[in-house]
Amino acid sequence: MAGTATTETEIAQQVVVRTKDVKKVYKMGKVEVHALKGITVEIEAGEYISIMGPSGSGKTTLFNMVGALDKPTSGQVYIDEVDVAQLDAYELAWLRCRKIGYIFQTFNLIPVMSALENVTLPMTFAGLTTDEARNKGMDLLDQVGLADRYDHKPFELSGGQQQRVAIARAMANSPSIILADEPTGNLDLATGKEIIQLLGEMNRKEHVTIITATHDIKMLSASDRIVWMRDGALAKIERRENLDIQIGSIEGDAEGGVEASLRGTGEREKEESTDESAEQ
Amino acid sequence: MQDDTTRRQQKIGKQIVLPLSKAFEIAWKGIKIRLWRSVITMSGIVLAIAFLMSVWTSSVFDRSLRSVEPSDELYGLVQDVLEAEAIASGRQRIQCAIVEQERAATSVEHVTPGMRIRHFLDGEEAFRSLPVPADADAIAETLEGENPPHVMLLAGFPDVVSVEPVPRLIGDFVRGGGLLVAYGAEGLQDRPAPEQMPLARLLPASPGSGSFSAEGADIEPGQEFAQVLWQNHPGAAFLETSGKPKARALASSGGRPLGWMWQVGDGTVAWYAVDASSAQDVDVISWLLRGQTTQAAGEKERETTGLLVRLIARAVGKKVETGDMRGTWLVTLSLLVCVVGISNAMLMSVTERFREIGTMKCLGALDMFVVKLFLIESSLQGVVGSVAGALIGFSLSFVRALFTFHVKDVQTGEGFWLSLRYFPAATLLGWVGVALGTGIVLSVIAAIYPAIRAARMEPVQAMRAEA
Ligand SMILES: Nc1ncnc2c1ncn2[C@@H]1O[C@H](COP(=O)(O)OP(=O)(O)OP(=O)(O)O)[C@@H](O)[C@H]1O
Ligand SMILES: [Mg+2]
Repeated sequence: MAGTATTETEIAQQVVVRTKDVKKVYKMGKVEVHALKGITVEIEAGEYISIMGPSGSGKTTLFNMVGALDKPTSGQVYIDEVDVAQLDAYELAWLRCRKIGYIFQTFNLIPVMSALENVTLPMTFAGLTTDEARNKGMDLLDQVGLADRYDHKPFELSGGQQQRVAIARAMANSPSIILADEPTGNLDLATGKEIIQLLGEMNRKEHVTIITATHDIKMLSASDRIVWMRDGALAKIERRENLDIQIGSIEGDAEGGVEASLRGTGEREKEESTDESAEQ
Repeated sequence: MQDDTTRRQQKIGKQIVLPLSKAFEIAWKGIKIRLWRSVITMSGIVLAIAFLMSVWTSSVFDRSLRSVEPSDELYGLVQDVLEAEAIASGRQRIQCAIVEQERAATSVEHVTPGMRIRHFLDGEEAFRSLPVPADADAIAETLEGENPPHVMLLAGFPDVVSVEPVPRLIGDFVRGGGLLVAYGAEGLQDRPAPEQMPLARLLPASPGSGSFSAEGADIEPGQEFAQVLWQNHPGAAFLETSGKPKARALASSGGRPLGWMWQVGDGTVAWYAVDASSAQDVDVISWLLRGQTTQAAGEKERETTGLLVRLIARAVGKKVETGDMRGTWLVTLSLLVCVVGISNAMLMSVTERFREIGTMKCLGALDMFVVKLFLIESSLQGVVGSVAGALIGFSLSFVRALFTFHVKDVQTGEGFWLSLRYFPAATLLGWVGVALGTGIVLSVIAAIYPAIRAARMEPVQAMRAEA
């Protein structure tokens, strides 16, 4: 395995996720909802991708397909060039356990487990011993700034703290991809920003590919690329470099108004995070 | 860092199957933390099993305390007759003389029906048994003594019953209000021909032997008992008996029941209903006992013999109709309540955790692991809940039985707790086992079914299916 180690630049160019004409149709009685109308996209290793779009545009649906949490009606999803549909139950579980970390809008921590137990659960599934898992789990909790709350149950934590635990949990088995569906959706502005920062940090330090579905404009500044969706189809894909010019014209009215302040926070975020990484 | 990089390059492998101990560990933690929820779930099981258990064990107590050996139907029959006698006569304690033939002293294993009935009567403190050896002097002494029995039980048909003065004495005893119960045909085969044994003629030695017919009616072959009925009630009709358990002949005259026969074990019990309004029937008793018809007696018989009719009616009603139906209905109902109650409790406790199941699958849990988790949890809950339920249910029915079967000896004033003295341990233990099994199997099935369904779903579906 050590022999297959590659340099960072190689990883960066490698495609981790590729979808090919993915369609999803929900049948509800006689009504068919075409949630995805043929999505083809490539995501490179180490990228920070934001999927944006109005409510109901199919972000969550795409996210579930990419995360192998649901099956597309047609089309293929490749993770590391392996067609997910070809995997058996054991391989799927392996993939969900080690390759992908999930973060949900509603946090989805196991309510009866402590923060630490939540973080170590995927490690248990991966076969780590209790001690190994404990050490690694404490490390991760420390990284998200919750080492002192390790024994608290989810209901004893704030939303932001729960989401941090969820991030630590997503990182448990050092995945190559983190899928975050509206990770800031249930959080206030400041807390949301912290979470985004944390994700950005993971992206930079651990080179995890981050895919988020979001309406949150704050996400944009952290992203390398933004995938715009509309009505179950890709509207456009942009690099961040082009973002500043585009943002006003695409979002037009309401969101264009906050554009300036967003850009401001984005820059500050960058500074803060560089400060933090310098400290460590 | 190097480690992480290599892992990202790894080909997709197969998820490892965690050992059962890991599942147990996680399940146990969950139960401890979710203690209150578990208790609520378990209380559903406890209630259901307690209900089931109390209904079942109550009937066990009823049956076993009413008859020491519930397998032997004879006891139930005698019990019914004696109970009716007690009610009709207003006595709390009934003296039963059992005439039984002395067996060879050497063969202890030879248990006569009389010995078993005696054993049964000794168990029932309300009835006092008085064994009487089958010799004429002993019977005469018993019947003419200071404290004559209320009931005379003829176990089998000893020869001595037809030796004077025994038939006369028994006839007087019956006319004086005594109850004669003759049961068991054991040993009849070795007896002399029926002509010499008038009493024996009333009990068929073997079904299907001989035949009888009278003008206008066909009578089943081998029913010598029926002959007597026919003789005294030319208008009697023999009714369809297929619906009556073990009843071989049921005769009635003008809608009034006259006679029954039951197969009891290897023997047969014959009943002849005596109606106070029919003088002939009183003669039949004498005829039964003496082997000949006597002239009708006076008013006295008319009064006393009424009892016998009631006895028989009571025994039949209880055996055939209400008793069985009510018991079956109750047990069925309790089982239904148990099934619904437990399934509901377990179903709820699983469906409210669909989201958790979905999340676990996202984190890399195998379907099997999820199912194992719930299997462990539900079986633990099932065991604890069923044990508690069985204990509670048993205690309830035990207390009930304790007070229901409290008997006072009229002569000594002593009280007896029958349920303590004749504790049907083996039968109860069997039912405890059945109740435990029911509780555990039900809770596991009710929990595992939705757990399997949730585990098989795509994680997203499971997370969306919010209960
Ligand atoms: N399980 C489902 N059954 C039926 N229709 C569904 C289901 N899930 C999603 N849809 C439909 O698919 C479409 C896309 O939904 P999706 O949840 O992907 O949107 P979204 O972009 O994530 O929206 P939001 O920003 O509000 O989360 C919607 O029209 C939705 O109604
Ligand atoms: Mg969504």
